[in-house]
Amino acid sequence: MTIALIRPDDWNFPLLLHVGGAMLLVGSLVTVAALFLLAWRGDSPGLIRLGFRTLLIAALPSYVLMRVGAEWINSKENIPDEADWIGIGYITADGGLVFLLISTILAGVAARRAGRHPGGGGTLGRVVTVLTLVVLTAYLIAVWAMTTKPG
Amino acid sequence: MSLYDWLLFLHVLAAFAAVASVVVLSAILAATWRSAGVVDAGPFLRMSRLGSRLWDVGGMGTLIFGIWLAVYVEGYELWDGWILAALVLWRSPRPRACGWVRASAALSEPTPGTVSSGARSEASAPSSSTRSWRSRSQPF
Repeated sequence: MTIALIRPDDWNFPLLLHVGGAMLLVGSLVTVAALFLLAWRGDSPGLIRLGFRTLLIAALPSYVLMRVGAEWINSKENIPDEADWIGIGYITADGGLVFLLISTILAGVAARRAGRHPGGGGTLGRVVTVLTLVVLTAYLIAVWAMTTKPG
Repeated sequence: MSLYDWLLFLHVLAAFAAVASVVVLSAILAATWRSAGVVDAGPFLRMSRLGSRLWDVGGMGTLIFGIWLAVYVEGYELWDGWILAALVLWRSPRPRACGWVRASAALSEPTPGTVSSGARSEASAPSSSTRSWRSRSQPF
């Protein structure tokens, strides 16, 4: 049996912002990965364009929500930075941002090429697929670390 | 990892899957809303199936592990107001939402008039999955 720990009320909104942003971010990445996987073999400029827009309109703003919420709740809880699960969170969030930005730029170029020449942007689209799947895996590890709090 | 850790992880993971389902279905709706007849519906119907499966797994997982947590953790009860409210709000809107999305995707099948306009190069003949889906069900 585990005894419930009730957090102070003023922690609720920052935590909601952090978890909500993370959920939208992962949802956006699942969508992008699925779109680019579908576009992997065929020339599907519509799918590549939608993937790029999802990264730009959904994934990046969700990342900002998640990251701002993380700093906000961290400042309230005063968790020591040396805790393993906090370290995993920072590494995946900051490393993931680099991958996310590269994916967005490459997806934009791929969408442009695919719009101009049928079949264009295929290789870039495949790189975006791989990058997105890597980030998605890292974020799933982060979800595990945030919920189980190892170390 | 304790049982509590596992339950919380699986509950949150399932909730992530449920939200991912909403994002997938929203993206399809956004893509097909104003493009009736000018996009190939096949990939979007496949995406809607992904969204549907994510909701099946995520929605059920969130519910099962959430109830398990409420029973397992001392200090929470199933009849706490916020848990009851969550259970009521969890009443599945999914079948209708998935129906809308599939209808929207199916209605975006290319039609001869719009395809011949040449406005969108990605337009192509509807996939067999699209045709069979349309023949099996009514969009609304």
